[in-house]
Amino acid sequence: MKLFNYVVLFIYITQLNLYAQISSQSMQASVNMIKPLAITAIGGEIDFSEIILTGTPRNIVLSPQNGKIFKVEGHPNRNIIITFSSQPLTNSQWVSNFGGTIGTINFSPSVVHTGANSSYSNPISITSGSSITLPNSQGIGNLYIWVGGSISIAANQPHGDYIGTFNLTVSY
Amino acid sequence: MNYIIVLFSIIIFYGFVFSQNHSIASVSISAKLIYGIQIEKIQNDLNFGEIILPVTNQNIEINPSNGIRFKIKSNPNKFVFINYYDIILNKESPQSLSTNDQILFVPLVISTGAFENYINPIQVISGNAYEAENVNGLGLLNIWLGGKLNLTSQNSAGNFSGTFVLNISY
Repeated sequence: MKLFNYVVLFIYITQLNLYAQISSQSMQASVNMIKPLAITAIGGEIDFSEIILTGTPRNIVLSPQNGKIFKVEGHPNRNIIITFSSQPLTNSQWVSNFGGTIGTINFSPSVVHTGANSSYSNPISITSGSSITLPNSQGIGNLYIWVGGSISIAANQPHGDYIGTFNLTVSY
Repeated sequence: MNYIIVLFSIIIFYGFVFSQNHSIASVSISAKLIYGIQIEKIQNDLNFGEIILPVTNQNIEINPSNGIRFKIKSNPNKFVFINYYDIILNKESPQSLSTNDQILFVPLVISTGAFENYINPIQVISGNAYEAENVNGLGLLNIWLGGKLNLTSQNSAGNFSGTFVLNISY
């Protein structure tokens, strides 16, 4: 019982001491929560289909309207940077299946955007590294990007199925 | 106080991290480069030689194995359409134009696929498509042309010739 009384007294004194140390400050903390960026391929293909070799150099063009469509979602009215680059296509996988000669061709992308419009109207050309403001579409920043391009075929280009990968990066 | 500053810095830092957010989309690019179809005559001609005028109607035939061999080069495993027609051989320098100065040539066309020898012959029907067999990345079809001449007892003597056309396409 004596011990219990000492403990209660100790707690009381300690609390008094703690309260004696309390001071208060008020300040404003703010943070701007930005909607994360997302890019999704929503339709189309970058497919040049069948091209019959003629023995002469050719440049085959795929219009962005007939290419791949991407939808970018992010914070409205915020600027984003869009980057992409030319890519090599190779028929090495085809040659390993059928035989023949390995070749490469270069894909030069042609990228446009139609703002928040999901239809192909008033396309605006995009160069890699350029900054574009995400149009506000009911509180969400939406941007539609269309990718076509061209491939250059040499006179002695080996035949086969050529494939490659195209990366489109968007960032704040 | 220091604790509050650290906490506030973390909030600012997080805001900075989120503002650097990025996203990447990767898609495939594809193009099928198709070998430009070609045909070349490899061996022989279609020459029926000298024929003694028959006293009755008869057919003179050259077996495709002894006729012309063509080689078709195309994309492997791609179907090739083959078209041809009967033709009329006309007498060279005819004195008068009559049916006696013409001979009907009825072609007989055979495919041996990738075989360059007369092995496993398959008759080629005009207008049908045949798959070019893959040989080291090249599609091959060996086509053999023979046929028969429809001779009549009324045919006049002389040299007869004509042009046979074999059309190929994808």
